[in-house]
Amino acid sequence: MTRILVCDDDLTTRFLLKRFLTREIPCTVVEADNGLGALKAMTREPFDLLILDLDMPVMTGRETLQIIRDTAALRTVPVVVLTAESDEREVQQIIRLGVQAFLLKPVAGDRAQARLRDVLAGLHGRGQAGSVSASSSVGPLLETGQPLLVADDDEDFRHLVVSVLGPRFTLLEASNGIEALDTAIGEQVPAVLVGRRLSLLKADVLAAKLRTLRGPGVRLIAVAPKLEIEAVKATGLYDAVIARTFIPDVFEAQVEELLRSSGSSPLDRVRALVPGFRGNVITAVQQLLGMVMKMDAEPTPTAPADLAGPFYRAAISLALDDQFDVTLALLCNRESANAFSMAMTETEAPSDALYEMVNIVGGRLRNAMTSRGLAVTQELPVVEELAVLPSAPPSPDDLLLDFGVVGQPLFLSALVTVTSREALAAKAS
Amino acid sequence: MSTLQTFSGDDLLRIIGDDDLDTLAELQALLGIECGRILAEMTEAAGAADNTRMARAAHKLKSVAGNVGGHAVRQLAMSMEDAAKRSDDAEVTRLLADLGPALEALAQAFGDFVSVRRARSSDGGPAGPVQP
Repeated sequence: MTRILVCDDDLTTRFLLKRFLTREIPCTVVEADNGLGALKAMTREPFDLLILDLDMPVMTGRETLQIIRDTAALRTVPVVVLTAESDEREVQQIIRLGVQAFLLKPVAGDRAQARLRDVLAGLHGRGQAGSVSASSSVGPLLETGQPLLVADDDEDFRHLVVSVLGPRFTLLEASNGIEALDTAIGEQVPAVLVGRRLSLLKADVLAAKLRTLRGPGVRLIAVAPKLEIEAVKATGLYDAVIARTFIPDVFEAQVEELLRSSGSSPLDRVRALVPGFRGNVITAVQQLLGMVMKMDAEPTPTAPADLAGPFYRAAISLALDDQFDVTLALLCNRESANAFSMAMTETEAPSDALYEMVNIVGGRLRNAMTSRGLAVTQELPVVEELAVLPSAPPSPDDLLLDFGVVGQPLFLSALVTVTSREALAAKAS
Repeated sequence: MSTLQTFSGDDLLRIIGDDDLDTLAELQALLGIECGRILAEMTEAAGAADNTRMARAAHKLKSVAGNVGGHAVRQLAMSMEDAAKRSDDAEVTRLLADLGPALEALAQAFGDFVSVRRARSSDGGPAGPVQP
């Protein structure tokens, strides 16, 4: 049977928690009225969960949690903090020590109850379900109609967001970081607009905590002053960063761009997972051609109409997080392939040059993905010779980039196709 | 004096269940003990002009009142905690004077709530939410 230790100096809190817990799951509840009592109990017998108040006599919750985390025999015990404490520094220290959930009293509140139920469900079903990040499917960055939490201390800014985006989303508001964390977890909101002006829990601490607790299943969009955008991007915590503005039209245009760029195609989903994906492909190809040809390559609107074959196509496949197959193909005509081959002094045949080139660009993409914490496996490139240029236009869901080498009659096309394994499995069945 | 509702039993019933009159009665007794203890602590803190002690006691009362759906007392306790942290002695004195009657009103409302539910239970009536 699950064993839960409730540590709070308030008798009514312990009484209500015990009643609540025993109604929810089969469990034994042991009570302690301060941290010292809790530690004594934990050294006597094992517990599956500690519910801990912060403001207590003799030994506070923070002191207790610190000792638990520093003690090898106790440090893995899940701890839920349930408190009326909202001092920013105290809250940050607690979260850094590692807690399963941080809940604000009263116990009778809907949110505290909902979160406790989540934690209990996890305890009760421990070992049966996968982790949040492993089991959650990765959806698009933003979808019209979905709940969207706006976390910002500035009431005027929240009002702007609600008035502009109200017709498109089901909007929730949080006026500080703790409230945002509580809502994002309690309501399992799919997307959060994280303002930089957050009290109690700073924006980046909130983002890091949500990422830890909910993995890629929650979309985090930072709303930052223009001058801070690059610094916020560099944190790597957010799926997207938009500029903070009080001009409704400008704000709406940014969100529209996010909606456009985050449709539900597999490519869009990968682009949501790897912000800057398209830019990564362009940069990788440009750097490669610069390295090979010592000349600048620029994306061109379309392939030249008078290309003569045969053509060479080199493709490499990346398996992303066991969810997507991402194929990158480089395609060029023989004249271009020969030029690439001549420039790459260690290769002789055009097919060898293309093999190396797609391997290099694929490696860059792989790095971009793994730097986001995604698992990627890469297959060996495959090179084929084609008699004619493929006539079928790529699907709108593919990413096609054509490059010309400035000052040279050379052309290289990069095509990225993404297939969802979910879709493949459905098709096969 | 706060205009908030003195007491709401709905949240409480979600935790303890609709049909558990014994638990309600036990909680009623606990509430009386805890509130009496905290009020005494506050009175001593005021006598000693100890705002740190007053803020801690108010913090505790905020938690206790919130737990049982005592909205008005919770609001007063929050104001008291703020005033004590600001060392606003005049406000502390004013709020302390309001707290006594507010706690009595909460105890009365809670008692009425228990009585009504007990009466319904003995009549075999429905166990829906009751607002005194």
